[in-house]
Amino acid sequence: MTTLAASGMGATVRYDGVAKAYGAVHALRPTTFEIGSGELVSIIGPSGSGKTTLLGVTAGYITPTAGGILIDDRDITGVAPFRRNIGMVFQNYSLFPHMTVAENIAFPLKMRGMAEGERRERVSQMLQTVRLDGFGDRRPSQLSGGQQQRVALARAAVYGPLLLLMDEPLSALDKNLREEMQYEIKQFQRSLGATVLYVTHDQNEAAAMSDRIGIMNEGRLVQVGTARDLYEHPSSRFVASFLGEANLFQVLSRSATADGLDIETAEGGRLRAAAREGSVACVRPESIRIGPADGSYENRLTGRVTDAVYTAGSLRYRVDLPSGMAVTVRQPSERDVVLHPPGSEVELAWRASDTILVEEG
Amino acid sequence: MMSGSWTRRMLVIRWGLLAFTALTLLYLVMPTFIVVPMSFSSQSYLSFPPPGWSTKWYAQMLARPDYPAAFINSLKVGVSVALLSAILGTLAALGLVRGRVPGERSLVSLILAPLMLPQIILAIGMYPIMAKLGIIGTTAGLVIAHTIVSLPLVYITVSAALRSYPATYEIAAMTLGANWWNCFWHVTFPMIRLGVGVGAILAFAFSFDELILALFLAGPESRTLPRLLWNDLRVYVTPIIAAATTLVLCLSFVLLGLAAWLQRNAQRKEARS
Amino acid sequence: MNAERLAAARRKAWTLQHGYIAMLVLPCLVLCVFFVWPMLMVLLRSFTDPTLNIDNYVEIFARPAYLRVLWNTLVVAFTVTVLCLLISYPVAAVIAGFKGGLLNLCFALILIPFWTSTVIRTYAWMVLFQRKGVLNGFLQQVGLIDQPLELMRNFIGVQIGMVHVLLPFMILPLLSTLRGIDPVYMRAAGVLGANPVRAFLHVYLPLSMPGISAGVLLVFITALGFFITPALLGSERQMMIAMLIEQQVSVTVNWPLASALSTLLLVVTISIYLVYERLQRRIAAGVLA
Repeated sequence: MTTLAASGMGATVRYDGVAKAYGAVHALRPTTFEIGSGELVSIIGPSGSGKTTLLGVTAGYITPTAGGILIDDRDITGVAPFRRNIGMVFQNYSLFPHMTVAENIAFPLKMRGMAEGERRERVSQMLQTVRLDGFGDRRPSQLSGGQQQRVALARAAVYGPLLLLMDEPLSALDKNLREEMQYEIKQFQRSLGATVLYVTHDQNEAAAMSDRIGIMNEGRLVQVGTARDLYEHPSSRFVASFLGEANLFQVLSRSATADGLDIETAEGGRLRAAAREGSVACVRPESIRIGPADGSYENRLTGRVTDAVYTAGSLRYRVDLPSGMAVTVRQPSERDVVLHPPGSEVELAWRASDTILVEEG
Repeated sequence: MMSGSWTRRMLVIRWGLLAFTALTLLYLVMPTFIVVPMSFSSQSYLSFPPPGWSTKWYAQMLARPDYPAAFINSLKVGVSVALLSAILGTLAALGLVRGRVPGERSLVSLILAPLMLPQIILAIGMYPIMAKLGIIGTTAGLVIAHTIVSLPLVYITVSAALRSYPATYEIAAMTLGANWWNCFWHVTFPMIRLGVGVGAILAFAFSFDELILALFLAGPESRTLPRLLWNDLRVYVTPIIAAATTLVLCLSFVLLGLAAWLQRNAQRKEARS
Repeated sequence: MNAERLAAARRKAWTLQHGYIAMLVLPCLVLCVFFVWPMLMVLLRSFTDPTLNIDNYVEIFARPAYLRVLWNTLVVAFTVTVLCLLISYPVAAVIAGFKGGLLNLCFALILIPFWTSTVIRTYAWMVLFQRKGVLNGFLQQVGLIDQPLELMRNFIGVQIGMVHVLLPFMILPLLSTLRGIDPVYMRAAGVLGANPVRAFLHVYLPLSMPGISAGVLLVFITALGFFITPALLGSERQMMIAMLIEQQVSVTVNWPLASALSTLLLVVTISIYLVYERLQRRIAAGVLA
């Protein structure tokens, strides 16, 4: 393990306006951001948002049309993938079916001209790390999905790459195994001190694993931050609605007051918000109280319950406002909470600080 | 009553169709297999079944110097064609399937065209060019001509093999440190070798049977077996031809069986993983 | 500074695509020298040898003997294609209903002649068809005929031989299409009250069109350029265009005329292929719409 860490995993990565266009199609718009040493950054976004292109550009099999990438301050933009010393775990694992597990893990070492004896030693060390002792002589097709996943991880890390890239590595596994593997990958990454760029479409997975999350949309990296940052301070309508649930109100006009901001919205009339720029007001379902509330709640609206669902530990309401907008409300279901049946008129209330203003787009 | 005659009529149609199918299949296979007993006939005139059995036509064939020479020429040309079209066809398939090439459709048509066009046109076209390059009548010239036509066969089998697995295997190999050659030798080739093998066998089989290009482009030194059979056929029909034909048939079936066996193996392997 | 650095890096940047495109250089070079160049030379020669004009083509269409060869070629290719289709369709339909070992046996029986050289197969027909050949011998023995039948050196012999060689080209595409037709469709048509003939005409036949068109294309194009079978089983009177081309080169040594004839064959072949592609695309578009 120490030998691996010493070989320099955990580089810093800097994207310097890197972009990729196929003719008039912008797969990746100019992107600038940094990944710190030993940091795990997840990239999430809808399919076709440029996640895979970002990975490809980093690994080197896609050549950017503008900008560059620096790893530990070395420009690797025009360097072939086989000279980059980056490890990558693929969505389908891409374990070579004609090689055994041990041969798969030894492959990158062989390509680096390492002597056979040393190679064997490293492979058995790595098999131990991923808890696959004694599986070295099997074929990948004889392993379970989770085991294949661990082999792919071992193969991508065995040569101590500067950076590990993971392309939806858990998407092929079932839910329980996925959660276990999230923990394992996280442990693995910590023990190696590796820098990881992790692409996923599962926001819970991203939240569970990463130091920071980047959200991509239409080829643009729209916001980077911790999961909490992104949820509480989304920068745009897209981020607000992509991450978790959001009730969004279109802001028609705004006027600053001494202790905040008065806004006029199309769907909810006059609302109070924390002072911030933005033309869309976002209110999270769990910050809305349903039923009578005291004076500390600056925003009050009435509506009619059209649906009430009990899901593990919480109550979920759909409340129609007079404007026709449907508001989603989520409440922890404690023992004394009253259930509002569909059809009943209810009062909704939330604090001004929970009305987050975000930009359109 | 109505329905009874109706079912009877359907039954007649059914059996009629089955009989027609059987006759057609017989028509397809029979002439080829008449040649085999013919080659063991004791008589020089052609009758069936032969009045007696002997292997004298095989002995006469071997006694004539031109038959063994033509057979060896055919093997030489066939093996070279198989190798050359395997290399060129694999390169073409890799470039077109894995690469994003501008004008891909026209390039594919260009590669497949020699297989679609009548060989007489190719022969007419290549003759003056090969004369200009000084390779007319040589084995090399014939090998190149056959390669042009059998390259599409390898292209078809190899591109199918390449499409059967995702391109990420090669990309994975490269991120792991394999350069172009290592990536091909350790990853791509093991995955496509059946496609290459089957394509090469088809290329050999094509070359081994081809007449028209050989007619125009081969010289006395590079005369292949079909060319020799053709010359003999135009002069007189002798059971020696039947003997040679039987040998060629055996070789063709061995090759066909080999190709089928390779493909079945590949399918079984695929089913297992 | 930054832009300069990037521009410099971009110039020598490694690109996956460039590597794959580089692999095409060798095959394309070989094809250009030994396929494209020859074809262009044939085309060029047909117009410029001996002088720049269309005399070679005028000669083809002015001489009744040559016109007859063109006519023969079209008629033989057409009748052979029709015969192949008429024989293949019921056969393919029957085999498409087979399963397991029987299906494999049928495939083998179709593939055996497919992989046997045309020279050999034509030789087999010569053995059968000669005046003192197997078939005449058999018929005389049985007493059906007194005088040997003339089976070779006429259109019947050529057509029987060509149909035999080309039949697999028709059966195989038909078989792959017919095997893809779900029998549920025919049953549905029956349930909906269509009698077998109507069900066949309105359901089965339209669904088998892709196989029919592919088979017809393959057989017709191959038949147009046929050489071995008509040369061995036919006579001067059954001459087809490929034989005429060969004769122009090896007997009369008239390369310009051979080039013009080749160009004609080339243009016809490519045109048929292009029309077929158009139709295919329209059928595909129609299915999607």
